Amino acid sequence: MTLLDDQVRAILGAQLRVLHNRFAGRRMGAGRVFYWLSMAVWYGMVCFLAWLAAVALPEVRSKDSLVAIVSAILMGATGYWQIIPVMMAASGLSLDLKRLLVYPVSFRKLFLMEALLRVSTGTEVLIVLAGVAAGLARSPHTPGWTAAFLLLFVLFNLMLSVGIRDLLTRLLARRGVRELVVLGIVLVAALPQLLVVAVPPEQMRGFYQKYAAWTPRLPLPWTTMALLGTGEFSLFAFSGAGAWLFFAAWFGYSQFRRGLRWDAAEIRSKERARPAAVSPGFFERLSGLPGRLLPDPLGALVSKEIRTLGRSPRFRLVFFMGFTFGIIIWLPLVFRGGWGEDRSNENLLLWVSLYATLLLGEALFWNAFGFDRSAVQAYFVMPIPFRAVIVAKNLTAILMLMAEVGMVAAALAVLRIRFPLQKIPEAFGCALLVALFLLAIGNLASVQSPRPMDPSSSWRQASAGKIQGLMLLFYPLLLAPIGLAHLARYAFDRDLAFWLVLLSGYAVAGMTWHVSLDSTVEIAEKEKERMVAALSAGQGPIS
Amino acid sequence: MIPETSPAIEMNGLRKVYGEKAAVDGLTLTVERGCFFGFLGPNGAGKTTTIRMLMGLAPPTAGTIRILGRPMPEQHLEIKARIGLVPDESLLFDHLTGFEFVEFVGRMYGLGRELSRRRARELMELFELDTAGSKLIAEYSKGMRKRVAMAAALIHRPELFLLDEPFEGVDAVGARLMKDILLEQVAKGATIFLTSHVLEVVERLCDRVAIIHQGKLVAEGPIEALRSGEETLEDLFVRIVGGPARTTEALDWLR
Repeated sequence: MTLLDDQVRAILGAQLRVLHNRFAGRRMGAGRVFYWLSMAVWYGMVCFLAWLAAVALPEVRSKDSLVAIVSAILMGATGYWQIIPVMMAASGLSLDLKRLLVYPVSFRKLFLMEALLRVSTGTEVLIVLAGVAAGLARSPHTPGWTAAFLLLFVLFNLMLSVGIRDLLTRLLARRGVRELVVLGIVLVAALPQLLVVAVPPEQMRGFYQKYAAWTPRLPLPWTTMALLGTGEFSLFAFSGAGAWLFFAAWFGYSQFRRGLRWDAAEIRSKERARPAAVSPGFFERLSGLPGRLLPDPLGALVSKEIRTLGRSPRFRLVFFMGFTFGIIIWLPLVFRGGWGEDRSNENLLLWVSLYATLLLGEALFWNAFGFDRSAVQAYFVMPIPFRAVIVAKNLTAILMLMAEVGMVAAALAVLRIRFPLQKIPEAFGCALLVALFLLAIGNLASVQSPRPMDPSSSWRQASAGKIQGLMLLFYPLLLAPIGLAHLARYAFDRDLAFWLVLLSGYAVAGMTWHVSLDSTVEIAEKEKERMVAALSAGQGPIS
Repeated sequence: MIPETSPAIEMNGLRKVYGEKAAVDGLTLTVERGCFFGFLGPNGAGKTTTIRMLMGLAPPTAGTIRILGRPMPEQHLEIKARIGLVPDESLLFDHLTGFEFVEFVGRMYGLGRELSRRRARELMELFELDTAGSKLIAEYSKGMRKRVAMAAALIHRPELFLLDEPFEGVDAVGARLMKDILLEQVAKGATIFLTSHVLEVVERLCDRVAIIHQGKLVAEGPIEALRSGEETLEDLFVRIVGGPARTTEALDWLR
């Protein structure tokens, strides 16, 4: 087998074409502009980081500091490289080599290709590493050519990411474990930000100084490879780097091989084979409740919506993140003065609730027919007014949102984070107001730019590029009435002022929603063919 | 050296268990070369699982498989190089165009870039698919996806075709074209292992059929030998796997 024979070249070419077709080649108009702008901003930032490393590293005064800094950069690069491919795989952007098992391609070649494909998912890291290498080459503390040892680090990450991706793919296929694993990844990704905001700067400096002092003695992959990259050749550095490379190769290959043999159908079949509960559970009873309280078809539609959402891993994950991840990223408000005893913040419930509302946007508001890719045809065929379908979806969204705010309040209570009780109706009221505006815009977006969503895919963007651009524009506007209400309370020093402004916000939101509903129904009736066609399109190359 | 007279497919005591349920339960079956073989069964009988095991996509719990005289999975590369597959589930890459995909598959079979491109273009024309190559597979209808899969299965002129519901969603013209091509391939010595719920098609195309029910082989042989009297294949199938336990007579409101 030559290193890059025709099969390997064909697969790499297919990966590039998938990325091109997905991102650039097919987008038109506003979506395309938004895509290229966001790409330019993103890679501009990455190139800036690379430039910073190239310029700053030669200025580092001592060799020890240089080792510590490079080691810290490599540690961050490892974290980024190991998380991003997982997200890419789940969003269907990297080829699933398991599909190639039907062709005469050997395991070894598939492993090589999988490792090479990992390069395409770590371009940001490679750009930054190029900057680091340039910085090391220009540093007075290194011979320059030792920067080439960073290639070992690249190799280590490529093989490690193959193993991690396969291991996670198998874990994510299991119900329950999937949500926990994705939440874990999100929490790990949020940890650095939390540390930076929550830990006082002097304490952070202390941590870093301790880390910098210990760095050369720690047998970690980024440490040993930073030592080699900076020209610190010792038995410790060589044996450490060698051991990590060996481990990554073994882990990557063994996990990849297991992944190829693994049969996802077996897991699904086992899950299906679980005995059904003899009597309906709490969730089943709850989801059936609107069907009893509301007249049909509204009752039946709302029950169906609740069941669909409740059984969608994607929705469950976002809902779960709302009151877990949502609280974590706002915790700095509580611990602004360090990890002291006073764990209180009177506005935390409101902030987390609003954050959770925005988080739920992708699953509930912006692309309401995404999970309904086949059901949407039935809506047009069944003898029910399309208005009832939209109203049912909106009603379900509000019910889910209220449940989310309730969960946020309960989670804060469990964490013993104090907040005034009168903030509970405020949080519900504000979340509902934002939701009404979101529904008004989301209804239109759902029929104008519908796109299919895989309820099992936890990461993939649910809405079109232009809708994502609009979201950035709309969110600050949607929050404006709440800001005004708070301003009124501050100016008049009375809660009544807050509620009066909020009520006037409701009047505007209600009218907006009503007008939007009429337009949505009209557009849906006119564009039903386009809607059905858009929602019938495939989901992704693999997932 | 593998003798050309060895059967195309030999399954011996093949078993696949998911949890506590056997999807395929002790399947022993031989398909001779040059045969148009129909593999039938009701939904969930184990047809797709069998094809997945034949392709090495799902390891059997027990039993052995030999394809074109070679053991699977020991010689999986040699076997796969000689097989053309149209799966029921999509193994297509949605974000490639039909042409890009067929060309890609050709290169997987070692045809090289130029030959793959040429054959892909010809196959796209033959199947009246988007020759301009502007449409992604994600935008294809179900029938078009099946036609792309069939084009990809043909590109390397395989000796054995494994076809899982290949006509599903394909229009009459496309289905006729596919049938003609398959019959031509059989006439030239290829073997076809076909699953389909359209029993009229199976009846018209296949020399032999096997029927599995709940993972077990319940009938196998030439269609004529299995039928009794004026029985159609559908009558035979219903007789063997059992008719509906209840009829509309049980539902007063539907009568």
